[in-house]
Amino acid sequence: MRYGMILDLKRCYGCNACTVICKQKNGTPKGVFWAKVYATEVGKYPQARREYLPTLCMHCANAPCVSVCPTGASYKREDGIVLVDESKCIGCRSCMLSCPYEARYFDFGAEASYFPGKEANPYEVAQASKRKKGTVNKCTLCVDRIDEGEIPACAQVCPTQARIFGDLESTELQKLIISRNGYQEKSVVGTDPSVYYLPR
Amino acid sequence: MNTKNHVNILPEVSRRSFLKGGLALTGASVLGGGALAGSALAASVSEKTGKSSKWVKSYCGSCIWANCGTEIKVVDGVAVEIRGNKEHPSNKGTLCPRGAAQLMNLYNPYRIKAPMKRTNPQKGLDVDPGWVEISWEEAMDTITEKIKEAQAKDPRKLMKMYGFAGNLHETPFVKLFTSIFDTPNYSMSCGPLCEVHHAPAMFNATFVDRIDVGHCNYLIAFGRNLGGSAMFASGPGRALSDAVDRGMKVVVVDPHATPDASKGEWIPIRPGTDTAMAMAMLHVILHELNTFDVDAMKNRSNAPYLIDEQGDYVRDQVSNKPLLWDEADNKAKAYDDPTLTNPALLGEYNVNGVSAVPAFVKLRESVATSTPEWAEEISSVPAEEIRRITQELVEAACIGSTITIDGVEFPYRPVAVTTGRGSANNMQGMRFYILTNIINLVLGAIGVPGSLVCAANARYLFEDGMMREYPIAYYTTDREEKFSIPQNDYTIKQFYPLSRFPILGGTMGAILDPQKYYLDYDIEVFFPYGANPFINDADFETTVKAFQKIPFVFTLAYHMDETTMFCDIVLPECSHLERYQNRPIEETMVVGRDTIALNGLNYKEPAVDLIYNTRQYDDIILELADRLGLTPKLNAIYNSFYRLSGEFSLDPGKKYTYQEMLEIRLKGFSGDASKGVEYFREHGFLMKNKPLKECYEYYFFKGNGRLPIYNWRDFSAGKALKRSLDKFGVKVPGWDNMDEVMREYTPVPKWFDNYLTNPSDEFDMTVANWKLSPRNLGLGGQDDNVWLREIVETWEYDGLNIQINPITAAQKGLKTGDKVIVESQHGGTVEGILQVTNLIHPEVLGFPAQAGRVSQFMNPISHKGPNYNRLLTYKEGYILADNGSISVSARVKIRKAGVK
Repeated sequence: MRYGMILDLKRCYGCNACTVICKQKNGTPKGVFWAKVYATEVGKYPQARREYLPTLCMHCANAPCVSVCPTGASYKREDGIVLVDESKCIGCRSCMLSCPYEARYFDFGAEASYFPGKEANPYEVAQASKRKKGTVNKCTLCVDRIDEGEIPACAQVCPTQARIFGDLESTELQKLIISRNGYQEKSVVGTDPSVYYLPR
Repeated sequence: MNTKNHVNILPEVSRRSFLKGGLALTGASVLGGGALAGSALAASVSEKTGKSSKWVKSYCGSCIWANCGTEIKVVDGVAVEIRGNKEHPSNKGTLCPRGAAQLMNLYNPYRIKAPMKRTNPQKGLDVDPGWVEISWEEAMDTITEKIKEAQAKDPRKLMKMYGFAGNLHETPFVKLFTSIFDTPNYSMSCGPLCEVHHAPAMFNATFVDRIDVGHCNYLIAFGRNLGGSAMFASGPGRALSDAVDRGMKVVVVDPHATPDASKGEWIPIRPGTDTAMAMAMLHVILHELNTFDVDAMKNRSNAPYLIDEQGDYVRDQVSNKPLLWDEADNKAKAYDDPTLTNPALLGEYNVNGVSAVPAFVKLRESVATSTPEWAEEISSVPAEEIRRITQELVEAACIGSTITIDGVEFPYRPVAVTTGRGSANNMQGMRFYILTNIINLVLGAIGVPGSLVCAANARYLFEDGMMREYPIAYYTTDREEKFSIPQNDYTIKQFYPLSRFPILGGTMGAILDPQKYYLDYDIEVFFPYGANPFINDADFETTVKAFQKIPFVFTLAYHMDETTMFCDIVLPECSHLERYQNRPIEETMVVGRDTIALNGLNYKEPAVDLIYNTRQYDDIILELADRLGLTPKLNAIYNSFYRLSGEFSLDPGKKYTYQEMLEIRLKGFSGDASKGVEYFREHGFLMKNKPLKECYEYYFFKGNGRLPIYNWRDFSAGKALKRSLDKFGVKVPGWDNMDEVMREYTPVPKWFDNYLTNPSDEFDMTVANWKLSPRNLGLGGQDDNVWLREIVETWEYDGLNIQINPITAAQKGLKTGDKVIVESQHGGTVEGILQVTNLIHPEVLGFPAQAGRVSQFMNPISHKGPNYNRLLTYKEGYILADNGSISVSARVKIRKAGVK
């Protein structure tokens, strides 16, 4: 059992529905993006085109964030999901330095509201308990949803169904990765991400 | 008003269901779902926290096509999450970024919280109205009194306006307002920039045509979003993705490389020159390749109709039916003559002493000299590219082949040349849209599988053997009979007989100077709702003066936008998550095999208790009607709008709440007393899908009506207009050269140089504008949604910058990050930050989406970026003469800010 995600670059149009739903479902503060889409252009006019790279925490098999964590706050579940136990996190941020994918964020005491000078709105108040000043946060692969039999919010929301969630050890996902020449980002660093990309 | 939330709270239900090791894949993915949906009425009280929690079924309110089913998680009365409804066949659990961001629309502290009246009589975009809070009673009393006073003098003194502002015009009472309140006067802030409805009406009997990408193999898009560029989650994005996965080739002809183009091929073009390129494509088809669908020409189009030297149909002297020439026995025959065997497409004939040629000859002649080399000069698209894509298109059309669907044999033409606002809302844009449909028709690729098809619930009328454009309200003969001076109404549509919407520039001009526009009364009470001409349209300075002149203006609004700055009373509106409403499910623009036949109804009710002292539009209308004694009329109009009768219809004599009216509407739709509000509350929607064969209008047309390759109807509309103007001796403001006006009504393709293509002054560039996924039409509060704005500024590649090609930037000594000023040939200027990119034509400045809000009462995040529409104009003489729209482009010059 190894939960992960396959991101089909042929189907991604860079709409950022994943970026928004991740913020909404997880209540992350301004400037924090557990899911996001890097957009670039390639080629010279008129042979130019857009390329998109949707991302999330890679939930690496050999997660450097877990091995460098001095307190055991960053840990890996048996199903492959990498999480941070806030109660153990001392905010040293070693994990952030070790992450090759810029997947982690530090909570410096984020503003309670997205609206400058305004009080937190009822939604923001309801989300407030998810944040802890002085600790590191990141994508949880929506572990709460997975434990309830749902799929991660970004996988459900994707209007072109470019985000495919499941057990990477399953035959279906293995077949899909092989048939489409799936690859891992920055595989050379050897972290063995649980996120695969299918080229366009 | 009743704000009670009707969602059932059931006893605690265990929804926990842990994934087993064997459950390999639960993605809403190409490999199929497997996820466990929350049940419709699932509600529970958490053991840990003691909090009550429920999922409320709803549908999205963040774009014009509110198809997507949603679910809102409410914990202790607070909406904490929105997700797509996985059971909904449109969006299948997905959402676009706009839909995903709607909680920040609901909980936006900049919303209007109570009724307000102004204390400062001076009005302006930068004038503080001096708002003071008043009661609903006082607000409604004042409004009622003002309407009564004005309408006692003349009912026409009341005017309505709507269109694409912060809120969605999803309610039936937007369309029905004028008939209920007995005034012909309405205006639209979005209309002049939405010129995409005439050609679909003519060729597909539909308001917005749809591309059948479920079958299409070769798709050429001119200035059109295919569902991915500005994402639509209800089906277009998924359908496009599926089609590209399947191998459909996408060719995007556009001044900028869209996300859709990046999945296929991008052909950059100068804005406003599409007609030249399409004429060259038709030239290649008819003169170089000489390959077309002969059967479609002879039997599905008016190509064989005989045309006389004046350009009119040659008609039978007795029956008045248009005549064709039958080559089988060399006789002229009516289009419906049972002996008609082989209609002639070529040749010259003498009928009733008149010399005539088949319309096909006229069409061929019209493109005889429009070679790709000629078009290259005008459009900048290389001739060999025009030839190549035209040849690929013709080859992919599979002319002659058929496909059987639901036991019906259809021509199989898996190609489409499609047009969007970027091309149609431009010089000769209406003609251009028609021209691309002529190309489709010449290949037999319209209304058949794989091509451009109608939307659900199209209705068909036939006249002269032709399909008659149903959704177009005003036309030729009717128009000529109704033409009156003084004008009856402020829409100014009678001078623009092909217009779909009121002519905003004309209306504003007429408010300022009624006599000039042949009007003999003033507007005294004005009700803009969901309308913002200051941001959504051109020439805001003129609009400001017009709004200032009207004695009493009131609105119902979600936030204090630019329109509210001119209102005497502002009523606070519910956000779309706090309303009772219904909306048809009709998949739009781009359809796949899983969405083409969808047809149904969405329902929603407030997910949470009202946050502020707000009401929804429908309640306001019901109350106003009641106060003015119009309830019986309103009920009768409601019945007829929804075609309600018998058991499921309103009693005209009874006063209903909007919720009660919805209950009857839902039962009327389902035809089932058990499927009213309660059913819809549980499921969120009800489907009544179309049979697949009825999704292709060939099924209805064949043998009944032909489509126009020769545009006799528009041509006649122009002649009728000229007759009316001459009869009354009227000169339309701005029309100094009637030849230039009348040439727009050409029945066959024709190219004219125009103010975009004749750069004879210092304005050396052209501007283009497009939608973004996090900001399309501005509906649903996109400009001040904190999440969407953050995405636009952080992750959206196009952002809020002004785009320029590196070649041009180098020539002008400009670089990314430069602060620049762009000045339009029409006088408007905007300031912005430059972004150098290869994704834009070298002669074009690109403006993604729309920004630059000016209301000081809105969240300041909305003020950033340029407001593109300031570069455009609706001035007299610049309004497109046949349809009343305006060009989405203008010629401009650019300089660094601070440098003269």
